[in-house]
Amino acid sequence: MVVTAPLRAGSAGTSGRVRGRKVVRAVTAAVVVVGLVITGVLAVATFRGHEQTQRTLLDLQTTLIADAGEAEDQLYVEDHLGGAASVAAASGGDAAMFRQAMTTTVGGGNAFVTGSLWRLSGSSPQLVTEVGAAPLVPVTAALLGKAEASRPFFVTELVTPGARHLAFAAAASGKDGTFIAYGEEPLPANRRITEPVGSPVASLNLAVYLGPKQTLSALLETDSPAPLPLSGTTDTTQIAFGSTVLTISTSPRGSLTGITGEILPWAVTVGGLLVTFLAALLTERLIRRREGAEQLTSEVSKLYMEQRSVAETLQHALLPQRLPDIPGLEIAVRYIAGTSGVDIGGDWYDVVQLDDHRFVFIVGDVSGRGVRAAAVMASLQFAGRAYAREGYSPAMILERLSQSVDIERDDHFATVLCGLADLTAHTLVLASAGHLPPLILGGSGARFAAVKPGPPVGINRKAPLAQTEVTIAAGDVLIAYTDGLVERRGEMLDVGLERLQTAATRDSSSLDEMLGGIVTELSEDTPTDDIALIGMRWLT
Amino acid sequence: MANLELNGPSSITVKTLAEGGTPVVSLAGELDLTNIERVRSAIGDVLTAGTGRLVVELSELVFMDSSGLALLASLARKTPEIELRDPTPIVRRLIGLSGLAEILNVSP
Repeated sequence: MVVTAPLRAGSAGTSGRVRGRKVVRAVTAAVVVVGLVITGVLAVATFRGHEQTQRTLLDLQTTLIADAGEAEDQLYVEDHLGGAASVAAASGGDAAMFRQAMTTTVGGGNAFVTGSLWRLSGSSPQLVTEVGAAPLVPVTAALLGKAEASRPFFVTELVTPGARHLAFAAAASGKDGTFIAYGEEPLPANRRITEPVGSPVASLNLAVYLGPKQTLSALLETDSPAPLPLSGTTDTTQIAFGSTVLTISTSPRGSLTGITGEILPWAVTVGGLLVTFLAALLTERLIRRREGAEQLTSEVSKLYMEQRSVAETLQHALLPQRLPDIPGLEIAVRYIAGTSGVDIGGDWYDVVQLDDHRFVFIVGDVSGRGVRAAAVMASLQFAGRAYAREGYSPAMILERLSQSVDIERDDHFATVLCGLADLTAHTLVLASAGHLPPLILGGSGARFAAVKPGPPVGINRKAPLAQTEVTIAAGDVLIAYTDGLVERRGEMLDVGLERLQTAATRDSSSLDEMLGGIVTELSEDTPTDDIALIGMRWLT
Repeated sequence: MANLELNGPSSITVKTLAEGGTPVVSLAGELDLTNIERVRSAIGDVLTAGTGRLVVELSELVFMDSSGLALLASLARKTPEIELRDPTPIVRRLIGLSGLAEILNVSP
């Protein structure tokens, strides 16, 4: 006998899990790398941006200091000392006028503490008059001599153990010769100055040097607590100051852009690292969750396959493993399990030999599916075999089978076709309990046996079940089947029956090949219902 | 998982209305194993509440499998005054071939 059933296999390999772990690591690493790169680029950009802003602001403020602050000194000396020299030159060295001119320059809270007027004649200058305190050191001819060549004025630093002064000398020429106005401005003790809080300069370290060099000896004043010369981000600018220059060096004390500008790069760095870490964590979790779901699906699929395999094994076990070898009769069978879920179906076939020339065949289909339906099928199969051996007629067999199943009790019924054949008499007695009629292939073609169906087994009937006797000639074939073979949704059953009729009349070399052809032609790609099929050929 | 074919239930609509005291249950769509329990319990509810008379309207039922037939047969055993009204030709033919015509009250 040939029993065909679709072979199925499900596998959830461990190689998949190993590959999964590698994927988790690779993807998480990729997320981390991308996150770190983005964080790094952003951090560098904001650091650079902050530095750039810092430098721009520093330049701006330094220029501001140079223009507004220190340049004022130059103008002050020019106006006051240069002015006084001009007055002296114009007045021919009038001492009173010079003193008058110097009243707003020397002493009384003015910048200068000493002032004097010198007439330049010959090699040694002569003192005309002097105002304010005495000079820090005696005024030398060499110093005064430099004034004439230095416009608008000559400047130098005077140092004694107790004090430091800036000495200025401005020359002016008139018709009575050249006059030089001399003045001294005291420098702050320790060269330190304190910028008032709130001043735009307060946020800077400031160092002012006389001359182009940033040396301690040239330092005029500073407000920097940091060691000199200033380091880090610095800005240096030089402005003209009499005969020399003032060198102004600045560096920021803190962030010139405020607290936000200073912490922004750090916030970007920390934030970026945090986001990277969280993204990596989330990625890993998501991947693991998906992996878990896939594994679960695989397990469920495996369990499903196992259960289905158990169901199919049970079903095959219930069907007869070996059909009787009856002389003069060729038998072939097919059984195809439907794919509708894991439930076992309730289709069966059976052949019982009574003696050397008589046999009974039964094909049945229990409504519904599942273990209950299979149990009903099993009891009907065993009872049917027993009743057949007892010698009951097909109608009687079917009527008695109703004791094994009751629609009101079991919610199942069974359509059953039963036939009693006499190979010697060439007769076949058929009875149908709601089952589809068998197909008979004879010399005159294929025809469905005209069996009047009674209600299915399991439903108490009112009238006795009808029996039909047909004549079977040598070479005739009888095909009995369950409805899964011909039933299609949205189609009249007759269409399926015709399809069977057509398929059965195609040429075939053997009965087994004929059934194979019928199944191939009629069954859907994924049949939902089970199909049981039995074919019998009368050889004599 | 190409071989995991746990198909969802087939589409069926169950409507219940009363016709002069007799409940009428209309079945439209496909009645098969996948939705049989839903229909069984819907009809069961109607029978519990009603007088024992029942009309099952089948004019829009385009498919019924053997479990559907079993349900109708079971109803017919428990409730003799059940009427199957206006079945589609497909269902009518199915009832005829299954030998249930003699115990089911089909009209017209």
